[in-house]
Amino acid sequence: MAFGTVLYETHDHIAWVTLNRPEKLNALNDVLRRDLIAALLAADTDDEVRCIVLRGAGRAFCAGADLSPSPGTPGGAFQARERTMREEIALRNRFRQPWMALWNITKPVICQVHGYCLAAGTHIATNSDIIIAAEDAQFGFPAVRNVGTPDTFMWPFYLRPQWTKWAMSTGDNLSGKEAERLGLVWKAVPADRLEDEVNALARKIARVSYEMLAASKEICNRAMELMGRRHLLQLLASEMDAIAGQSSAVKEFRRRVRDEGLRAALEWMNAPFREPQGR
Amino acid sequence: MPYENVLYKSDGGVAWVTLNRPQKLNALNTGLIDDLWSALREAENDEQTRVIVIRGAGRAFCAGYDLTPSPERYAEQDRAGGDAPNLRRDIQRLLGASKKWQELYHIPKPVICQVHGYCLAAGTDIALSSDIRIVAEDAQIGFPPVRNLGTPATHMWTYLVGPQWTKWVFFTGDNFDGKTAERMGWALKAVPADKLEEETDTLARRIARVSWEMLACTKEICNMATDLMGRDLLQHLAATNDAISHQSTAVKEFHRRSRTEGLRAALAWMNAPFQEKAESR
Repeated sequence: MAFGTVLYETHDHIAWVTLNRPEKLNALNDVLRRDLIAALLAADTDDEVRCIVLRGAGRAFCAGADLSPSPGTPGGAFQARERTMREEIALRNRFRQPWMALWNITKPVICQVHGYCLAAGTHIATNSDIIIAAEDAQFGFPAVRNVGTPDTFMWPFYLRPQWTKWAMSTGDNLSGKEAERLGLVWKAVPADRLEDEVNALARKIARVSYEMLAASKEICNRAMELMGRRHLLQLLASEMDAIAGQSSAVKEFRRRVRDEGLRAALEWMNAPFREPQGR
Repeated sequence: MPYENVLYKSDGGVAWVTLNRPQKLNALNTGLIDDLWSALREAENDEQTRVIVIRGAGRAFCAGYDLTPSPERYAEQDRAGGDAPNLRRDIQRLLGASKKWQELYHIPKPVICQVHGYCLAAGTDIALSSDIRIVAEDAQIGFPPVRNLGTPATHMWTYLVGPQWTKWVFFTGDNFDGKTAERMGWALKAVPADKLEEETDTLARRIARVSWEMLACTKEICNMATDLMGRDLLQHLAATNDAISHQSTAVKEFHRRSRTEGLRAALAWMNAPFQEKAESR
């Protein structure tokens, strides 16, 4: 079964939700966003499902938002007319809907990460409950260099401020193994054991009743709400990203996407960061 | 002063409060909780005492609340509406329980919790309401009741170990050992079991060199940081959340089995689906 660009199957009280735009490394466009929300809601309302697994088809979990100016991204980041600040903020609040839907799912969500998990891909992972990753997966937010800051911001709940600031100020990636050490990822395993590991945990969780699982998830999420998750870290994050969008660096990036194409613009953005990370 | 269920000694600025129902793995009943509180108040009011250590006698630190069906427990359950608890009364009952551990959090002297053997369910409420946890590497820590009995009525987990570890513990009910507790940030330090007392003693004596006023101030500002993240309100939400979970058929079934077949059978029923080896964390 499928919701357009998202594959969906259920068995043994587990729903497997698979992002399925492998040729684009599962980059998120409006269609994939919409399909993802539909699949998550289907799993949350199916009485047989107790645990949800989110993963990506092909080489990567998710490379982030699809930045290519195409018919697939109506209302996307690159349109001709200059938007007002209020419109910019509203746009980001719309982009955020899938992560909010994910956060509001009442059942445990395990995020299975292999290959790239970049930019908006990390929004999906960090709004899930437990992240299991391949040791060689790549987590990061390269967009902070010239595209924009996170429009949802869950990193501080997983990492200490120092590591969050490092990741957000360099745009450098973390491997799955490093992400486990720092707490972004619950567990990192060799890539060929990833699915087994996720399966084992999902099956174990699925032995607990829906009511108990929902209660456990609810109180932990409430703790994060009381730390300001929604107001500080989501609504303010959108505004901050909109403000960042006013900078000449971001405008230059957009101009290059328009005039020279996405590949050339990304190349321009990442060129100064080519040398080894030196950490 | 001697207590029936708690051993108490004070030495070199350190008060050692030892849960002493070893034959029940220090499971908490009214008598033990009352004695624990009398001992903690004695330590709080003793001007010679600067640091408090809580630990358990025998094989375990604390196995949680004593769930043995008894007239006392039936009466408590009946007050809350029996097998179909009245939601509001259940919330009040849980708030009462949670308030005890919150008072521990507010004691104006540093509290070290020394954990060996089992530290389960309400045992973790004591540990997490203390300030610093020193654990034996082979200790077994966890909250198995999340499977069929209830969620924690106090909630310090997310503050101390973050959402991801908390959710794993709560979703599976699996235990973790002392070494993992250190890695999670649940414990300050894990040491081999035979070094545990020495390690606790060294830290306690070191803290006891600082004056009472300084310790009270540093404890308070750290607590305030957590309180600004909504700790107090979260405890109310945790009690409500736990009470709602008590309305589920899984929890009602556990209590029915406990009454008709006995506690051991009910626990076996609850844990049967989880018997194979826990994922190696």
